[in-house]
Amino acid sequence: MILDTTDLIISVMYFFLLFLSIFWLIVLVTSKEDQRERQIKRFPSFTVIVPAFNEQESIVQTLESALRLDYPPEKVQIIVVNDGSTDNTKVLVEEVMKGYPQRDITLINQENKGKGKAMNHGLKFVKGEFFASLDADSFVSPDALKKMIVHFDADPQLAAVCPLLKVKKPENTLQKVQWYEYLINMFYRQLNAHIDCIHVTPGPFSIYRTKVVQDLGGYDEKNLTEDLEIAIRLQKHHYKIIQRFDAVVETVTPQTWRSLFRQRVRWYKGSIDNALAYKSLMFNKNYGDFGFLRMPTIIASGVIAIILTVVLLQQVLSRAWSWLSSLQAVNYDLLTLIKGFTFQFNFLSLPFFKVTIAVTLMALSFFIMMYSFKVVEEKITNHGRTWVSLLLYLTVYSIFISTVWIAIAFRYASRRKDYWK
Amino acid sequence: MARTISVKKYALAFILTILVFAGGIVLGLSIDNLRLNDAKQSSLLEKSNLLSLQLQQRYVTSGIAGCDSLNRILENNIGELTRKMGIIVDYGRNTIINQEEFDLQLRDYFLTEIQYFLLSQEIDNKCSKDNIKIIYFYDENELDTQGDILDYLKKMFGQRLLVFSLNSAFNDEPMIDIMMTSYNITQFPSVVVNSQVFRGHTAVKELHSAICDEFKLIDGEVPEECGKE
Repeated sequence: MILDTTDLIISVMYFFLLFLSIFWLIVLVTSKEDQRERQIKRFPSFTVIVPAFNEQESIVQTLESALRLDYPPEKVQIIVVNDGSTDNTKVLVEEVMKGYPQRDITLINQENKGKGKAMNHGLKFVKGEFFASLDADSFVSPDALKKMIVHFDADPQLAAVCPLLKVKKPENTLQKVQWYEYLINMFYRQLNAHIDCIHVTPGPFSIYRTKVVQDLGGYDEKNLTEDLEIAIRLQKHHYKIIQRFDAVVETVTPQTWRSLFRQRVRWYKGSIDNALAYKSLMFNKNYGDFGFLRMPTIIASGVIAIILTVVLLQQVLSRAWSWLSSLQAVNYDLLTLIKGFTFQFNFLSLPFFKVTIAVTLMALSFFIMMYSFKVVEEKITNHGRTWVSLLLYLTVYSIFISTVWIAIAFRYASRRKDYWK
Repeated sequence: MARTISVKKYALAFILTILVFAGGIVLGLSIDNLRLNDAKQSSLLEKSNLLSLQLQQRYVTSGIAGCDSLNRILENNIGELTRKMGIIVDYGRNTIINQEEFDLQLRDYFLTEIQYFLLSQEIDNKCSKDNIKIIYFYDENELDTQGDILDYLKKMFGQRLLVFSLNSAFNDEPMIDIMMTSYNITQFPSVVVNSQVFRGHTAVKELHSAICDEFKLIDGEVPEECGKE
């Protein structure tokens, strides 16, 4: 057997993917982080910053979720930064403020300058010892704050605590598919937290130690994934970030493939941009696993996705071409071919080496998926989700994510300006 | 915050990954040996089938064995032989260490195929001709759709079309050279329909027409499939 270049590339990719899967399994087995609920002993002051741009559909519900937080009301400040909305966002926020005159709610209006600037604007008015960003399409559960903020007292190096993000009422199949993705991602984030490797503090209700973020200069206003940049900056300064499973925040996810595609291109390109901007952390022993594993895999995941997709595409196209040529040679007489078709399967002809690796990878991924559902106490088929949506997640969605990476590669190659700038 | 590199975890993950890969390779090797045994077993079976048919055809003239059943067995055996050859080619392509053995097996199959071809001619001499014989000379390194065309025609005409495929690049076997010389084959692919030689790629229409002409010679009329194309 001669190993051709394609086989070699695929083998190297599989080796790397298998290595990572086994590594995370070892992290899972050997970690002893306590996810038990802790009793809160003091109620430090806390601020929620809600940056909002044209969020009339959800802003009221978002603010009401913040107002319903199970926390002493006098300790909670809410700042809404209206980032130049052209819809009714401003009016709706003012109505909420009128409805809760006893609560500390501030509305800041600014020209549309982007989320980073909106957050920094809000940061100037923060009174809380801790603050959270809360995207205006996300909804925090009442007990989340207490469950998250309690961890800061135990560790002065802890700079951020991230909640468990769930997809808000997944209605269509695409949202159901994203529901699986979010939960599995959350679980991987938990594994990352075990070895201090969290590289993103999501916009929906990640809580920060205010002084730390202010000392680091606030948010990077030019960054298209400011929540990722701030997390890497915290890591750069050796602060700790943890992930909780008991504090739930629900978020609205894209309903169409097009909007999801645009969102993911922005996220993933942002992650590559930031990984490159902080390349000094890569393979830097001062940053431990974050430097040796997390930072390189931000880029490696994209590279692997692109290579595997290109190889797969090349094989599919080559087979399709060969099939079409055969059909053309017999004047497209499909009927005779179908009539004369006989199913032939020879077990010993299977490529056992590739099958072994693929089965091991799939088994590990499936185990991690099932375990993550167990940890967050969810079932695959809860709330209208079906096995079909799970199957789509495992198949079509992987292809979709690969196309996102390919689009990003084209953007880099063509030096195209980002549409979200 | 003191940062550490999980050296032990990386090392363990690396070792386990190597073990899984090694497991895959060991499984591949074991399967390779199973495939070789399968090829040998099949080869033995095909030879027994050939020998049985050779013996049966000796009793045709005395009337003990019937021409119809002989032709039916011949057509079935050749179909099975072709299927097995495809599997052996596949085994040879994916083998890790047994390349030489699989080449030898394949050579054995080609010889069996040629023996079947000669036997079918002998049966034709004793019985009335029942089938059309096609010899397909191909070069496995050349990308061509000739094989697909023959597969298609085989599907169309069924068992009465006997296709003998000979790999010209298989230069270990002098008998293939002899066959090529006897039909004056100088380029690939080439197709021989009974005694008519088509050199180079031949379109489905031409071959279909040649096959129908041959059927007309045998049966006096063309089969239903000749109305198609």
